Amino acid sequence: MPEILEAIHRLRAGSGSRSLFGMLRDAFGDSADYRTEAVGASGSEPVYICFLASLCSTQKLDLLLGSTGIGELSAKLSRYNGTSIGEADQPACEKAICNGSAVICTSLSENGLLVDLSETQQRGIGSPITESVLQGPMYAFNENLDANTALIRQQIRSPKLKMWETKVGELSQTRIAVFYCQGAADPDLLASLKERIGNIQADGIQDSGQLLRLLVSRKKLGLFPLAMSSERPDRSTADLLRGKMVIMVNGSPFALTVPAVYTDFWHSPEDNYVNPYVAYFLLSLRFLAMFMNLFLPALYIALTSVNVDVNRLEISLAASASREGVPYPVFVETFLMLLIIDFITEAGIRLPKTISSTVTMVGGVVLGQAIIQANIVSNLLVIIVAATAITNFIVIDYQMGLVQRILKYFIAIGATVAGLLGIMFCFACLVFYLSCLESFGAPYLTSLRRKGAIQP
Amino acid sequence: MKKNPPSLTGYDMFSIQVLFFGASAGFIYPSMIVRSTTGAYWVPLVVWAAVALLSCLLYSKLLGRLQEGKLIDRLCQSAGIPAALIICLPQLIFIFGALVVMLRAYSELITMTMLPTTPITFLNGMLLAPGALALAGMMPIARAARVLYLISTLLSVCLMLIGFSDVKWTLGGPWLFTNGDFLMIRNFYSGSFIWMGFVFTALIGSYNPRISGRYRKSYIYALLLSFPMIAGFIYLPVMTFGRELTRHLTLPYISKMDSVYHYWVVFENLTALFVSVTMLYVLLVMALKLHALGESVKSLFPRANPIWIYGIVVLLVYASASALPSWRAVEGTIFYTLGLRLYALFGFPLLGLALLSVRERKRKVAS
Repeated sequence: MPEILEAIHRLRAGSGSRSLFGMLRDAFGDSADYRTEAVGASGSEPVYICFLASLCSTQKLDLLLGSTGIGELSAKLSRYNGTSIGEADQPACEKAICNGSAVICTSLSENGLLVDLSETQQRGIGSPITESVLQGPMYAFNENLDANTALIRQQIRSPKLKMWETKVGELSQTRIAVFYCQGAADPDLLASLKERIGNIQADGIQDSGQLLRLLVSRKKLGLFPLAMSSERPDRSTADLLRGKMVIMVNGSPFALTVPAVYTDFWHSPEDNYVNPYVAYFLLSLRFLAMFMNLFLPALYIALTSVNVDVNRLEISLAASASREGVPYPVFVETFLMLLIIDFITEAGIRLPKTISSTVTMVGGVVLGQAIIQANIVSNLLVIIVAATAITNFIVIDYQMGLVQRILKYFIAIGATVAGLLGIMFCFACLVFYLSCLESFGAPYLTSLRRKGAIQP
Repeated sequence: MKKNPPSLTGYDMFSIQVLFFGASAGFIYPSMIVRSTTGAYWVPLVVWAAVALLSCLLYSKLLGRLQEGKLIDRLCQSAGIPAALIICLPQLIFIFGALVVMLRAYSELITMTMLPTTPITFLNGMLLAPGALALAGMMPIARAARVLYLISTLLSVCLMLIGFSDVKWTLGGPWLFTNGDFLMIRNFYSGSFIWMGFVFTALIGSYNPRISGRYRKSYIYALLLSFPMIAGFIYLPVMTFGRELTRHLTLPYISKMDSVYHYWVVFENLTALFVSVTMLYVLLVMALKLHALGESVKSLFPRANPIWIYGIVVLLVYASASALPSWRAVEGTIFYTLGLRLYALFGFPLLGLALLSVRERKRKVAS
């Protein structure tokens, strides 16, 4: 590498009082992983290589640092087989070191040479955790944007697939990429998205969910998720082909699909891989589960406390018999049980898998049995709450599942106040609210049917 | 380039019109028709449907003259705001009256059937939800209408089909006889309010000849589809209780729902279900009426803050609905606002057409 050697010799001594070497030492001096190693000499000046050991590839470093002899610089450089080396000033050198590059400089030079030794730490391609399917691709995005880009490109091998990239975050300098299919995606939406991303003011971004919060203005931030979050490349590519846009954040395994409408959250990626009649059946099942999840506890309150005459006499008598000895009003026992089941769900999610099954067992079976025997809640309510919890797990999207968990309380309050009419009123309010929402310019309540895919 | 304001699609319009029939035909209307004639009940229905169609055609002609504009805005441009205000005032009072009657009638219905101890003033508070939707704009109303249409119509049709299971068809007669006696009965005229859904949609959204044609077609489809439903609301109680008994019922269809019993129906009290489903219709239609009223006022007073307009309208409707002393007062209000309804059906579109024609002629002369 004679040109590198030439470049090192060309590095000029600083006219100011501080050299690059000194300034880098000041900037990174308190970082334990910051290293400076002498790798040779340029004339009388020793040549140093400065880097953050945690970000550099040890294999690549070995090539430069394998031998300790100062006089063997040209031999060491000849072993370097990476990207071309560029000269940079102090701010660029600092940024490059933070990105995993090494800086070669003399003790007096004001500029340095950047050598790309970066090594990205990432896990391998694994199976999806939150969107498991029985049929369909079994791999998921990981935290590396380049790997995720490759996964998308492997599914859409067309020049029509475009990728726009920028960096967001004053300190984190997080890479954000927007994927879209030219000709299918709305150019106005793309322009608006670029503008919104460009206007983000934040120190750092760790996840796509955080990016979504920053993209949606505080005024429009509502209860419902306005973008579809997915860790499945097949789902994201299918959305791209349907003219949507996919936003990815380096460091997050979840891709955001925009715009997203309400019904998108109820479609599983599996729907495209099974018989269409089965897919419709499953979709109907999910909507039925949604209604049960929202209305079952509320119906229990309404039919056992406010509109007792609506139910058949036999059921009303059975409900009353099961509540015999329960000292609380219906809505108190219902809210109590709903809260307990939410505690159990939350505990099951947060704990390690080995312990979470025990918690579920203790919570679901032991506590359920004990609470009935203690006459705190009725038998019927335990059935209702169990069915509510099960139907909540049918929700495809995790974020939508969380929203459902909150909404059932809202509808239960309506039932407490005005029975069946309260439920209907809350439902109407919900529909009104959803009809006012827009996801990146698309009405949230657009259509029950999905639009067909375009051919790339 | 300035984008055109959004307009309702044919399906939106259709959904809204069907919801309008569902909201107004189920509770107070059947008693009016049953009391209005000794002949076949479908005849007064057909007469009003024909009148409504005629009025719809007039509105369609009027809206066809607009070029991507709102009706009231165009009237203000053509005649000036004071003249437009005079033309629109009866229309606005009509909408206000329709809102008050619908809110109070539904609250009374709830008190009579499901929540007898709940104060009417509390029940009238349901107006807040339609108020918020009306403020959100026309497209949210249309989107909500599409969803509610699917749910509420399905439930209503199911309830009606269940209701058909214990009827005696012979009680429904005479099926063909009519002597036109209904023309002399005030109940026949009072029942005009259920046919006026197109009046409200004409006041919202922007129109051109193409959209106007769509508007007319959607109303005709909605009318054709809703006609059996409206007839069902009237004939089902008659075929269950007989003519004489039905004439004495305040809410015949509600009583009919009360009488349905089958061991395989999970719920025993279908009235509660019917009233609950009707709530979906009523809330949406009140939002539509509020929006029509709010948008008209906004066009007449362009400097007024929309939030204030809608806030004041909601408050006034709430106060007026709470001030009505009884069910009889509701029925009286329906009858005494007949003149306003006739104006809305024929007077307003004819005046509008005349105004636009004069304006056009003047422009031609000037050019």
